[in-house]
Amino acid sequence: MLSILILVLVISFAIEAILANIVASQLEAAINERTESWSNLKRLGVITLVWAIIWLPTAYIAYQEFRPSSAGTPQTPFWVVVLIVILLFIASSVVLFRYTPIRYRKRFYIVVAATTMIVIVGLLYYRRSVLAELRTVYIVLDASQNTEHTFTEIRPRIQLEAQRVPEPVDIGLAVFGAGLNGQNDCEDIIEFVSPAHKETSIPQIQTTLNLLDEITPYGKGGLQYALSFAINRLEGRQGVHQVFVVTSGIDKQCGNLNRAEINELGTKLGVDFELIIVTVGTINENERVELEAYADRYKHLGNVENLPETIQDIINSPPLVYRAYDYNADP
Amino acid sequence: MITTPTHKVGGSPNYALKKIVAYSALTIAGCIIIALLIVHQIWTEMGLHVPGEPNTPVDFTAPVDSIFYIRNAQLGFRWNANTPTSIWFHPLLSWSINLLPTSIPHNYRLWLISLAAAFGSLIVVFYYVQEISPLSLKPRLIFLIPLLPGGIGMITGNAEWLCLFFTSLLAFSVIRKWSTWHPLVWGSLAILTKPNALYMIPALGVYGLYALWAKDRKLLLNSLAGIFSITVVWIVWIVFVDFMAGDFGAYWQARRIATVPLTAGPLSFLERTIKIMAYSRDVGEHLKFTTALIIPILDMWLLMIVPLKNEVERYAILAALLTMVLTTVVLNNPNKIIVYVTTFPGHIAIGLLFIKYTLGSLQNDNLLKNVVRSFLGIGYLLLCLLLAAFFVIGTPLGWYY
Repeated sequence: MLSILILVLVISFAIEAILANIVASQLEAAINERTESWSNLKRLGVITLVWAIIWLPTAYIAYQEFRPSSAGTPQTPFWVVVLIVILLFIASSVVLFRYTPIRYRKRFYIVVAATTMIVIVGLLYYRRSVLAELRTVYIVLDASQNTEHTFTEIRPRIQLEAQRVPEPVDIGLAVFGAGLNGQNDCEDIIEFVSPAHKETSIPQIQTTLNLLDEITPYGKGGLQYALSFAINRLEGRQGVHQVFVVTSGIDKQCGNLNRAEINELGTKLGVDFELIIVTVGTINENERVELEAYADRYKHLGNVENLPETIQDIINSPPLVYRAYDYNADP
Repeated sequence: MITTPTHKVGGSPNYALKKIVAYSALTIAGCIIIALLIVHQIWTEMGLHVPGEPNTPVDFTAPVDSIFYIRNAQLGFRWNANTPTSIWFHPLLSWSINLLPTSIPHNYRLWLISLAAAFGSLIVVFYYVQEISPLSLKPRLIFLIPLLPGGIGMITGNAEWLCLFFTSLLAFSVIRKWSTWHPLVWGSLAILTKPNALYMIPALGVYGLYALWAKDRKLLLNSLAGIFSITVVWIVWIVFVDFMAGDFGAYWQARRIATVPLTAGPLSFLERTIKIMAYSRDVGEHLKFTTALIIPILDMWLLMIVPLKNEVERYAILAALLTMVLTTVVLNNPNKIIVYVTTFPGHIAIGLLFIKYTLGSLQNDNLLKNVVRSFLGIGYLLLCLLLAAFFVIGTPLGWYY
């Protein structure tokens, strides 16, 4: 579809230049000569029709390119507006260009039009590739003493419906604080499901959650370390990822939460990510404030019944953050 | 065939200097009033700080990276690639700050230098525009310069207007075929102010090629002198920075520390633009990337429309604009195009001539032409107003850098 779009745009651009000149001359004839010549108007109508025929498919394909897909890609009406304004401007400029006495006007027009085309086509090309990038949703489940009273409620509600997970999204799962690695420290985390396509990962996640039926949450909740672990696991993967934590509090035995440290690790490893934290159960105000500041998106669920829908919403929504670079960071 | 420049060798412009100076002074006075009464109030209200210094509020006297020129003046250059905010910046403005009386605070010294440079720029740029245009321009058009994309920046303290002052003198001295020491001096001073002077090289290259073709020895000599001065002084500064830092390559290393991926590859800028559009909800980022592409491309289209006296002028400006687009795309850096573009006199010329051409007195020869002209002229003015608002609001918010 993209190659057709590029082809249509290039052809349209070239034909527009010719047609705009013809339209201009016809309008001139109709307006300036004050003629009521039927043939002039007829020709004008035909030309306008041809113009529309050329641009309508372009507009349709552009719409197809820009409309939100089932993969939850964002809608960018702003960008569509910019494109329309540029095209309108180009059309008007071409008409006015007709009256500018420039020597070598064709050569000049080709240089300017080619530069504009490279930019527009480049943007369209990359839009396609950027949005087709794989995105990983990495679920980090708290099975520490933080979830002592909630884990049995949370575990069966980590439900994912394969058909509702967008195609380009990979999913992974890690559990921290469960004491399953034989340690009872702040670095207790195990990856049960490596990030993979939904067809592989979702059945594995369900099996894992069933196996966790027997565990008793008692370990330390080293959220900071768990996130470092998750970011390390996302290294080398394409896209802007979502690290999704389900917890019920903060374990201060494992130190303070430090977002800058996590960001620094992400920058070092080249991992762009959005941190989403969902808390379930009772949580005190201080912890809520701290988690709100720590996460890019924070949500507290008063009712654990809402957890499956929340998970599904997150998987279906694109990352809200994208750090192009950290030029504005304070030293 | 490209038409031959008709400038007289060594001739002096015969315009109403007093009027041009008066309108330039009035424009600067208006800018000071706007800075004090509007911009200062808005920025104070926003309570934001300059980049890298949480305790230094954004101030109209030294917004964005101007603070680093001040620090270089106060503390001297810190010759270390690990202190990029010092050696990123070329020295002339910091040296000039230290030449002014110490009783004036550093930021006000910078602002005064910037205003003086803007005053000089308005005069020289107007002469330059007169020189390249077949249209008769009235000096009151100078009032419109702050309205052009990026032009509102002259109300604040920055290095761009000092750079523009020298680049416009450079351009004017080349096309007026002044004595060769002029392009040598103005080119050197421009590059000592900001690396943006490099945009002049392709423009001067076009003049050089044309002069070669037309066997115009003086024009060739002047354009080569301009290119030579910019290139050599830049290289000398780079070597000097490396020498003082005791580290060969410190100048470039410091630029890489900016974490802008300079070597991300050709066209990766477009990919990054799309990522920003797709993933970021930061309005500032959207506008930064959009304006970085729109401003130079828009200038190219306007350049295609405005009447110019000699075609070589059109191609010289086009060469610089293409370099600007290429630099943005290849270096993968959208930063401050709205401001950087003001260091190139061709940008100001295009804006002024376009407004004059589209909204000047209409001719009765062609209704369609007049309608389209007015449509484009009003559209351009609206865009200018939007970009002025973008500058005023976006500067303290770090939208374009």
